[in-house]
Amino acid sequence: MLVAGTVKSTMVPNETRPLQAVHCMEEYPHHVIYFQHGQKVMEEDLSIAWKEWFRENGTRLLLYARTKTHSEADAQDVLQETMLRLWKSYAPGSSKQWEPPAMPLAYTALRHAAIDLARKNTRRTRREQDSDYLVSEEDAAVDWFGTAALEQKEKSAVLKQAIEELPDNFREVLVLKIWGELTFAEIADALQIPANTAASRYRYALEALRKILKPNSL
Amino acid sequence: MNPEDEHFESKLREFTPVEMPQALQSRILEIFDAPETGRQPENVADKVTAFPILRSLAIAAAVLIAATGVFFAVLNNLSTNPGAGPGTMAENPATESFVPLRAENVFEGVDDEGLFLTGGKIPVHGVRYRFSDSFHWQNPKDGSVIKMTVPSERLYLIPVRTD
Repeated sequence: MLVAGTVKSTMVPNETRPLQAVHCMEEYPHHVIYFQHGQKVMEEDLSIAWKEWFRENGTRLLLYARTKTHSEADAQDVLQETMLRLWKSYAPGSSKQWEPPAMPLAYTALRHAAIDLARKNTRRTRREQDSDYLVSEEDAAVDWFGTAALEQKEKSAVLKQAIEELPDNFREVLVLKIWGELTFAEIADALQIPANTAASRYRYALEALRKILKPNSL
Repeated sequence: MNPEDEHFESKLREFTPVEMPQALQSRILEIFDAPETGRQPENVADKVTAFPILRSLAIAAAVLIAATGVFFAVLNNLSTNPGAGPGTMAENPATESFVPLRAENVFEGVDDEGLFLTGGKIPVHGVRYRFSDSFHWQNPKDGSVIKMTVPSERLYLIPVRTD
């Protein structure tokens, strides 16, 4: 006997009629089972979909985490914590969210995790802050952008440093637009700001970044 | 968007985010195998712990500390500067033979300096005003005149609103 946690109708490829999809949390926490006329027709492993989603988007999420934190260790912690939160919170009973989250939602969750971590860090003792300072020197060597050519590697370092000099609200819009490949509407959704504000911050960010970078430095 | 911005944007897009460390990727992919699904996120309201008695004590302590600070600041001011008060400024009679006759401030132009980031990473828009300042002094005894003209600039940093 399957205990249905959440039920919804959905369309699948090569099927003309919608199938009834059932997420049986108790028996098969990672699976959605599709029924048609009371017969089980297919089963979907949700963890596979989430893994594919993460393999596709993990690098850009990590880049955003790096821009929102002060060390590589913090960025990795924030990303891991965010994925754990998202994975734990999917399909919470009445919600019909089984699939991996939309990217604006993932960025919002990442942003909140980074803010939580920053709040924790401000409560640290002086001694811990000193040890963070030592770690941050190593973090300066962590590349944000991947490349094989030596010349391009130097340019990547210059670009990373310039991005770090931007104000936080400019930097996050720039990163989400250029490397997150979000639209202004999606950025607005992720950062909970009006779309026009996102667009103007992006324009200012480009102007400020161009000013920080010397001509022909990229 | 102007062509210059588009060109710059396309240059930025040439840089791609570095691949994720393998260990981190493995750690995160393992999360999706764990039987942690279907749980409600923790209720934030449950985390809030109110301390009504301690809060009132803290307010009283803050008021006491502030009052003590003000008291000692006033005491310190009185002991170090007993003569402080109106009418105690030292008089410094002008003895120069030249007296100021005229001063002019001529506006010459304005330049848009674009976006600036201040030390605190606050975005401001720079507007530079250029002036020519002239000063004339005259010696009343012999009528001799000194004229001096110097260029001056004023840079106004106007905060950019981005919220």
